[in-house]
Amino acid sequence: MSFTKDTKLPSYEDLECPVVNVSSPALRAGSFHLAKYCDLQFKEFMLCRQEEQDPRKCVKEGKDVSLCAIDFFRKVRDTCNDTFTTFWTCLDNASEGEMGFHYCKKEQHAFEQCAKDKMNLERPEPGYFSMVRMHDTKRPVPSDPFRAGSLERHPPKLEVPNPPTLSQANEYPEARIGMKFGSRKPWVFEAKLWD
Amino acid sequence: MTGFSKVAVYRQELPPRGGFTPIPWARVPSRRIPLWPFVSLWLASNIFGYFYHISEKREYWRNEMELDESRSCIEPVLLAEQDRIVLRQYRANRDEEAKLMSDVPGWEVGTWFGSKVFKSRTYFPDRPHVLDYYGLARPSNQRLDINAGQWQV
Repeated sequence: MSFTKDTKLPSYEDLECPVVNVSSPALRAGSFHLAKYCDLQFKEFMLCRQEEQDPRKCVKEGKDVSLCAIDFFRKVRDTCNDTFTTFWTCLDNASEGEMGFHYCKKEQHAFEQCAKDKMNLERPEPGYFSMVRMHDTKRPVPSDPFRAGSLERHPPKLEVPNPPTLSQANEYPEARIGMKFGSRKPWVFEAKLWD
Repeated sequence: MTGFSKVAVYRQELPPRGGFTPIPWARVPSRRIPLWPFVSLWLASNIFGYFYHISEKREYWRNEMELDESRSCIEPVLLAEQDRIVLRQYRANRDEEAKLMSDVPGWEVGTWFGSKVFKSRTYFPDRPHVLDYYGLARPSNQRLDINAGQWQV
């Protein structure tokens, strides 16, 4: 509703992607192994999302994520279907609808054993996913410093021009007032924030 | 001494033969139960419960951590799908708005009679907004997702 004809929205063909057709208890059941299997794609997508802060620029990575997830669940269905099904039905029937793991320890052990034996996927230790994880990537650094999410990797290179003079007041009306964004902070420089 | 009246027959209330039964006037102490079993039980439950509670807390937070981690693991899948759905909806809304407001003079799609919501040409919102997504939906469709805030994976 707030997008004009100038904003570039991706077309319907660009957004076509198969859906990860898996219910939420099954997602939760396979979450740890999924994150291990699709680690690269997940990290790329989340990095893109954090840096660009723009969903339009991360459509390709999102497609990689979805395809990898579908691939993982297909693999599980081919090799470990029984244990996985018992596990996620047990989670689904856990009390209060919470899908807590402590109700289904036995089935979880069975599924983990099957995953280790057949799919060669070992689940990382319990505290692994809470910790900060580094990611080495070939992604180019986004060039827009004002939209960057994390500032450590690429400090913004601001070429700060002089503030507008009163003669430029037609072009930059803020020169008249000297205040931008209301009175929250004083106008410091005009760096072509809106191009 | 003439005319003795008749003597009325009466019965006196006298103590029984042998006297009254003795009145128990001595002190009778109340029934007492020993206190030490209860105190010892309470102390034992305190000591035992302290250590048990600490181990239970550890286990509880371990389970909570596991739930949080599983949610973090799932997040990219859901975010990717959400982005695609939202972008599709934005496009559909824009086309629909163009169709609806084609006969209103002075209306440009996405603006309020010319003044834009996003002034910068390079900005795009990171998170979907209710009005952007549901802006052109009828209330019956808007009400379908009231519980979306309660969904959890």
